Amino acid sequence: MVKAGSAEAEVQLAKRFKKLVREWHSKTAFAATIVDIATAPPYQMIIGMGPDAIPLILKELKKEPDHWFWALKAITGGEDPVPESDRGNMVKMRRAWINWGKKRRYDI
Amino acid sequence: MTSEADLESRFPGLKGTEYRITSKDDKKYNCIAWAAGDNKRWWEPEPMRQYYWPRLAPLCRSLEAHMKAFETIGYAQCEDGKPEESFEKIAIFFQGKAIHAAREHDGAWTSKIGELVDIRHELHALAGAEYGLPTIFMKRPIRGSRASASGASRASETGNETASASKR
Repeated sequence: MVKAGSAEAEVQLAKRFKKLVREWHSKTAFAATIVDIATAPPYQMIIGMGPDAIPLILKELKKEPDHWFWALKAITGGEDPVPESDRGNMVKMRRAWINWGKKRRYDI
Repeated sequence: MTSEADLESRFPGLKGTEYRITSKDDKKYNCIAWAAGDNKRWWEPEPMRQYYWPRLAPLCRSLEAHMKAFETIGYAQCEDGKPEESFEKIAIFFQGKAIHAAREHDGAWTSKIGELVDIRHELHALAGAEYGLPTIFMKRPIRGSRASASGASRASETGNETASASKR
């Protein structure tokens, strides 16, 4: 049995996350709306991973802009560092969330 | 990069029509934004309120909400999608809810496909199971055209919230 919080558990979590990200991308490439993109089962399963998924999501977001904002807001219980004037601008949304993660000392 | 084969598998109506891919895949804007002339933001009336949606438009996927969104940048409903001199047009696709929007450009239509590419296409080539039918048409004067003076005043009256939306 893998001990929670151990290095092995982290590796397993990262593997599961990557698999879900691949599934999410393949299922939603043609999706026309954020609602469709963020309600896809793999995305919902990532939200279900809870706070452990936050550094993994932030690392993905650092690599490239993507629609991680619903997941971050949901997992953090409604936090949103993006000012209203930047809504929809993924470059600025991404920057705001990465800065948010750095302030909270996430390893990203 | 999305290929013609990918597109035709999803939109069979494209087969045998004149269409072409005009951009790379890009997740930063969607079809509604592209129809509005904005390739910097994703426009969507979504419940988490993280994406752009004009304040004056209701936050739902109804035709009325989408029409209101386009009204904020100077569009008004019109009869059809036939090209008209000095005007640009958009079409809103509907299937139970507003799903897609396309923009008329130089007599052809241009659409952003999800998070993927922009294409130039025949309007009805995208009609079908995925996007429904082009149901509402709207037009506004092209900037600098004779018709634009009245259009500019109409945009001002409705509260143009997006400077970037008319930067084509």
